[in-house]
Amino acid sequence: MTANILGEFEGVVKRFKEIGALNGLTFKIYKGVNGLIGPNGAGKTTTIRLSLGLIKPDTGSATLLGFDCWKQSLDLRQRIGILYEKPAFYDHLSGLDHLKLMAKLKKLSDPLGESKQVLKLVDFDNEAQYRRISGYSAGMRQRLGLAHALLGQPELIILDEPTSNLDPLGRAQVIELLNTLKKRGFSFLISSHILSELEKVCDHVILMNGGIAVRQGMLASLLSEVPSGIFRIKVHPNEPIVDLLKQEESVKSVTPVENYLIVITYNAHKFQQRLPFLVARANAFLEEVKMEGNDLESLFKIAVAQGDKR
Amino acid sequence: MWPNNALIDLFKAEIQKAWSFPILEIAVGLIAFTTIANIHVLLNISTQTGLLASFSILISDSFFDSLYSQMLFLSIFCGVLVSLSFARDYEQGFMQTLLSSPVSRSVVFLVKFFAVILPLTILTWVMTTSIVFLNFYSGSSVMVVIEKALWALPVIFIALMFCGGFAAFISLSLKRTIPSVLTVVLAGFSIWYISTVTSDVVGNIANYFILTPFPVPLIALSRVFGRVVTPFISLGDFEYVLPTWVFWVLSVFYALVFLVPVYVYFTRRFEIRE
Amino acid sequence: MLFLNASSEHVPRSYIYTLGEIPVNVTHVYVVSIAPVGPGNISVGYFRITGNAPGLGGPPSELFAESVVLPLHLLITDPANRTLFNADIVTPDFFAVDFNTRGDYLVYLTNNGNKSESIPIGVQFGEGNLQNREFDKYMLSVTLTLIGVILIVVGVVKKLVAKPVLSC
Repeated sequence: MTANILGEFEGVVKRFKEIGALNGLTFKIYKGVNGLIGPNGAGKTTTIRLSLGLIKPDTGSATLLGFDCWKQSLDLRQRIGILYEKPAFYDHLSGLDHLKLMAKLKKLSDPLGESKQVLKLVDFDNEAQYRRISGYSAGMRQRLGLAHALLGQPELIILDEPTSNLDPLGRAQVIELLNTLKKRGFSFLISSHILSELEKVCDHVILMNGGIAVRQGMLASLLSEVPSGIFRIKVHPNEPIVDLLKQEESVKSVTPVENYLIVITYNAHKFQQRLPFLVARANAFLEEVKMEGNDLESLFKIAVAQGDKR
Repeated sequence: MWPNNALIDLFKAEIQKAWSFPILEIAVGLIAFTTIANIHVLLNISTQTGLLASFSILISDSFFDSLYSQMLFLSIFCGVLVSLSFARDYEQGFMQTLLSSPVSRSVVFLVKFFAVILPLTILTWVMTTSIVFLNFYSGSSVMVVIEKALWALPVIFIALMFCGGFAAFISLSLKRTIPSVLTVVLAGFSIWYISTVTSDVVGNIANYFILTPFPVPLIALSRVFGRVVTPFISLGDFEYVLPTWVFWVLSVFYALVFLVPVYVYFTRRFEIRE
Repeated sequence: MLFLNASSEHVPRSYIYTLGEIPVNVTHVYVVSIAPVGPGNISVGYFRITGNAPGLGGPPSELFAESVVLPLHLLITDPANRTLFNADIVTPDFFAVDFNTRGDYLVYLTNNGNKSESIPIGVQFGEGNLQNREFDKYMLSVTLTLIGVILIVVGVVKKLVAKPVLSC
């Protein structure tokens, strides 16, 4: 494993009864901020649990920091930090006491000092740290969980949906904090379905769908591949218009995604002129039309629509 | 895996979590409730030479009756607490947090398990011994009480190990709090009820019911106390025929029969899937 | 728990224990170990008694008893080794004792007769004095109830005092 690669999943398969949660997942985790993105059911949480030795892969190999995720899980857990979507604590303890306990379990030489340091890092060094966790708000619990994940300067920090329980202000604060920590040299693997936020922090991105990695690479490089002229339209009914769109010479591809049609065009301007005519010919009603930008969300939709497997 | 400060702190945190208000208060109240109902008043007449032997019988009876009356409540209470410790933590995501910490699974299991068993054993033992001691205190009886109490301690521990092991097995299988607790309560009542069925009702097969988990440790204790007849338990010839070591071996077997497989499963194959 | 006393074991009104034969001119010592249960009788020589023993209060009723007749010298001492009774008697007979101290009351019997006999020793109580007779249980149940109340109150107070204010 080179110095830049912190972890590697190779052909990992995990099935829960008949359901294939991971179907040959292959990707690498690099130094910096890695985003693991995908829709619900893509296998992100399964991937994270597998990383921490909470789940055993059926086949394939998963290694982080040179340790096998299942067989050497204990050694691995000494070196990484984790923040779950709904962090759980010893609620009867105060925030500081809980961190001290976790610091002792990590065999840190100065549990109290380290705890106070990480609390300061996440802007949680007020009197609330002495109060019982049972009285904390969701945002406070999230901060405490982040402080817990940062204990002991871990080589990799795994964050599972770190902003899902927060209001917009809280989310913005967490993103800002992640950027600060990134500058300090921390590496992250962040799982999220809020793509607009990930775009602000990620260096590398792994797009997951159906238990496999459909795209992965540097964010900037991937975004440069997003073609212009992508439209998301909502037409009712949409079946008649699909054939018409496919026959249209300005249209490269048409893919139904949920209630929408993702239309990739060669010529966005010409398509915009032709669309009303096509809708009328199909005797349909155009409810919504939106031109997608050059962003992570568009990239993800393309990857999912194309079923790209690289 | 010698316990260091961190593991001791983890154990303390688990005990505080498992015994948070009002669990401890309910346990103390119910143990006292069942014990006080079985106080043997101090009234004994014997010769001087036979005084110690006579006291020994009285104190043995007192310990035995007290523990017998507590056993149903204790076993169900223990099972419920262990179920809550495993199943509820799984449901609430705390098991995931613990297993993601730099602590081995073995430690997690043992800490959670013994955070319930050890305090309950000590609480039961202290309260029972204190009440027997208060009842029978006199110059000659102190050593007898201590001797009987020392035997009662491992018996209580072994009996609760069975209840806890069974509850851990159920809760890690079902992974849901309410079904686990209900199953444990029902099973506890059923196992207790079986041991009370007499041969009048079911015939000779009732003789074998004394080999079920509920009466076995109590019979082992009664043998150590030098008692042959165990009150309130249906008697069969079986009980007189079998040697003492059979009951001790069975007690240890029952203590481990669920515990060991569950421990191995938890440390080697248990997965967090939700 | 205080109510539980109604269902838990009571000191019996009459408790008799038959001990081994006492040879002629030999003294045997018997130990009556008892809680502080108040005034009662020690009986010597009665195998079985029904009805109210003398001196224990309650309505007079015919005393029916099985007994043995034997001349003895009787000495009774309390747990502090004070002599309560020391005289020649002929069984069967009753001797009033106030069991106000927990411990061993010693009964020394010397057979002054001409044959060895088994002599039963017993204690009897009247219908009254229930509080004294249940002294141990009341003391215990009050102690345990108080402990329970203290624990509950401490728990509730801790829960209420420690209840944190949610931050905005």
